[in-house]
Amino acid sequence: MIDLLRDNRLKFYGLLQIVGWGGYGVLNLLIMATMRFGRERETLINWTMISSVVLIIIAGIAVSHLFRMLIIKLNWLHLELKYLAPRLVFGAMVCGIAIVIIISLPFYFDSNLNFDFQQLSNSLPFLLMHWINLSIIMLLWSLIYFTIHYFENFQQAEIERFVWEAAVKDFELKTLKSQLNPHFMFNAMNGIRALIEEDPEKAKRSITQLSNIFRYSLNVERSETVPLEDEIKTVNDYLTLEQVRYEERLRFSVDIEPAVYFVEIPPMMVQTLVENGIKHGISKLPKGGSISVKAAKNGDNLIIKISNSGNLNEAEMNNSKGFGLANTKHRLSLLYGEKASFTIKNAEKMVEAVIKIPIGGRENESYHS
Amino acid sequence: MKAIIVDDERLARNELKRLLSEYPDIEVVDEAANVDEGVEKIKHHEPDVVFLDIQMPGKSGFDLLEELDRSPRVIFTTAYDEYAIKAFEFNALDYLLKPIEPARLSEAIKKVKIENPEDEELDIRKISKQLRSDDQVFVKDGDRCWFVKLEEVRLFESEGNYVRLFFRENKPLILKTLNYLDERLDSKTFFRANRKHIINLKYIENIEPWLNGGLLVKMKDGKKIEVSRRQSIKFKEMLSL
Repeated sequence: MIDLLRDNRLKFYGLLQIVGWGGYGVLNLLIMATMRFGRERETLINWTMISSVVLIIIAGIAVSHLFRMLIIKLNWLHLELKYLAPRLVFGAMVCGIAIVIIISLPFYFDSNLNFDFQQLSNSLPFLLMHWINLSIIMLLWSLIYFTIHYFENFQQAEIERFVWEAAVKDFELKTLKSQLNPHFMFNAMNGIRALIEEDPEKAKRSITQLSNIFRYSLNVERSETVPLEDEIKTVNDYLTLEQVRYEERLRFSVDIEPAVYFVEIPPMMVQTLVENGIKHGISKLPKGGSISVKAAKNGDNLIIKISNSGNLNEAEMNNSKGFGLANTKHRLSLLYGEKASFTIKNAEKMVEAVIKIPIGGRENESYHS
Repeated sequence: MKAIIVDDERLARNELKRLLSEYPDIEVVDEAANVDEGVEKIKHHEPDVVFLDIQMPGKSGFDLLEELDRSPRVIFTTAYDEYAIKAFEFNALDYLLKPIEPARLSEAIKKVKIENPEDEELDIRKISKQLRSDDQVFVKDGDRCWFVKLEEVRLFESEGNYVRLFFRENKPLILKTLNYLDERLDSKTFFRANRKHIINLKYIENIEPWLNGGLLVKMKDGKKIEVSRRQSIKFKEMLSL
């Protein structure tokens, strides 16, 4: 892809050189012809004119090509404009002289190959004009050369930016699918260990539930969204397990409207909020508290409401601990744009988190893995 | 050896009790489900070792230790969190990760026994409110925490309702008054030099006469502490003994 581009770029450069200088040569020829118009006994175009024009074209291409090599070698493409401009003016003038010398030199040798100084001094004003003329042409050449480059760089940067953004988004989505909290895992294991003796049947159930949660959290890494039903099953298992730990200190209810069972949602999103609710809310209350998860359809949207005992500390939320919440917001906006929303607030000794997700539509499907 | 378990989870406490039942010389005298209960029970039983969970509702295991005058031997029990590493860094006795591995528990108990040999004197001391110079206090300063043996403290300096402890290169604050400490610190090692300072006699470099019949004590770390006239008389008496 990049090779092709480079290949095309060289071809494009060659073409521009030939067309540009060719055009300039033809233009010169036309001007000379116009000046000869009306003079009798002389044809409009003669071989001297043609050969000098051919010489201009060749010299132009050669000198400007050398100039280009110099520009690349000296890395002028990355210079700031204020440093670049004087260099270009000077460079153009040098190139102008070089071209003037090449194209006029043959005319100052006589047939014996002796240099004719007399003729040189006679035509100095003419050469000076030529020089200025060609310097301006070279300046124009530089202008075109740099404009094309800047445009191309800009495009290149734009492409890179898009590729980069897509990668970042992808990465973000992957990491935002927060993994299971290890603290929970180990505490659950510890609880189960105690249960083995106390209530072997419950211990067995707990191990199954823990396996379900673990499997779910591993599998969802591969999908952008899952049916709400799957997520809720995990949330249920999770809450049941936490209840093994917290016993009477944790009360919970899960209430899902059947109509929304199959609505696709980002995996682990409800789960993470429920975990947060327990971690920052219920686990901090010596007497424990309750948590409820509700999901229902509202117009074209799915509304999921998670409320738990506790108090949302704004200050705490705004620093590091708010990261999970910022993540949720960010994740929703990556997937659904403006159509989804996430809010969290205190409501009568409870913390209430509400997710709104449009039913049946991701805004941007291109990030499907 | 008397032990107390402090953990907010009943199952976790039961599991640990079950594990400890393998050790006939360790008697779990009580258990607590939160910090307030824990402080009360530790003060009451004066256990040789406390198995202490770090994350508990309301107050943490560290809060519990800060509320005690004299820190018991502590073995932290924790499932997985950053505190575990932190606590260990600052020479906590030991920590156990839940679920607890019986072999690790056995190691931790061995350590307690080495550092805490059963002797009569120890039991007598526990009854009294007096702190001994080899007692340790738990000190927390921001994110850092230490178990400091009192004999390591060079100087106590009053700062309002707080006291600043000077030990090694650290000088954290604790929420205690100087008078409170003065009543409890071992008078063989510690001396109330003036209104603001209690000094550790082991860290004195030299003593010079000072204004108004007072004394100027130069500590080994170069700090100079004035001994008030009234205290100087006591000081001279004490040193001549």
